[in-house]
Amino acid sequence: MIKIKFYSLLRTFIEQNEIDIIADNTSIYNVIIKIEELTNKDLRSELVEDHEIISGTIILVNGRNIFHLDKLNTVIKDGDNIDIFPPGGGG
Amino acid sequence: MKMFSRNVKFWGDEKQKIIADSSILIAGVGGLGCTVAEVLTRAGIGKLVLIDKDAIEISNLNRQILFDQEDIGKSKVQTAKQKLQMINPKLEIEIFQQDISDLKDLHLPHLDGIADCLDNFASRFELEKMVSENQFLVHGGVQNDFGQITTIIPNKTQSLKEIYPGIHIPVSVPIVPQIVITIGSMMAQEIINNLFSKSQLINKMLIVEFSDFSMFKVKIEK
Repeated sequence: MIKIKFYSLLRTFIEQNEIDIIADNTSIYNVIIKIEELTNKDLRSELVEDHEIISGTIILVNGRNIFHLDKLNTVIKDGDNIDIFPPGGGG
Repeated sequence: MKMFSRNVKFWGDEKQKIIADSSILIAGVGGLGCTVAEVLTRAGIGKLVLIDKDAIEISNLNRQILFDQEDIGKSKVQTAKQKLQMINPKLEIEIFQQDISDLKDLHLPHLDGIADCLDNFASRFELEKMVSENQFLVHGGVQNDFGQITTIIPNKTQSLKEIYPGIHIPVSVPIVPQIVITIGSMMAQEIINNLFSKSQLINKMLIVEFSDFSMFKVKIEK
């Protein structure tokens, strides 16, 4: 089981706090597609542009930003926890 | 000191003295900076250093609680200093009406910690360069009706640049006052936690959302 949690603007967009999916040894990109199938929401329009992560969004796999892993090709394994949020930039 | 008697009733003389002996840099005297500065002042902080290059604009008044209509056009740091010393005349305040990029050239006093109350990530990455291993930086950010807070300590946590790689968020994002004042208050609490060596947000990001009053602590792996 892979647990994906959404925060702030994405939680509103997905209309769910979290989603569990059954998958193993697949890319984060494929996980995003799987979430789209489950929610019928165009999540890629919020997270991905030209197969790169949109610069205003943070995707953490077990607390590590996928930017430091293999970006959208980061391999997700059974038991992984994914947190996705666009941080607030203002002050 | 009678002004802080209710604080002392809660956390005791020893902790009140820790706060009174502490100095904090507030980087950015906007929505978050005003609230952090006011809460720390009322908590009894001994010294504040304020840095912000801007003057007060009318569009600031929805969330920058130290300012009012009569302050339009005045320097943020000078006005904030005046208002904070009206609350506690014994509070020591040093002000710098300069850009964050000038920080490295400034002669700053001893600082126990830094409050990141800035409004853009490029400046935040500049700011965190000046944090040393025996200091802490409490980061806050707000947008719409949500916000986030974490504590950064060199070699103990990821840096902001590591947490937010490649990030670009436009300035002048939508913000409502209630989230700014709440996140600013929570930042002040986390600053006090750090002064008491009881940080709650090391390698954790607190995300607060007002839409349904939810709060989450997200793990950030070092």
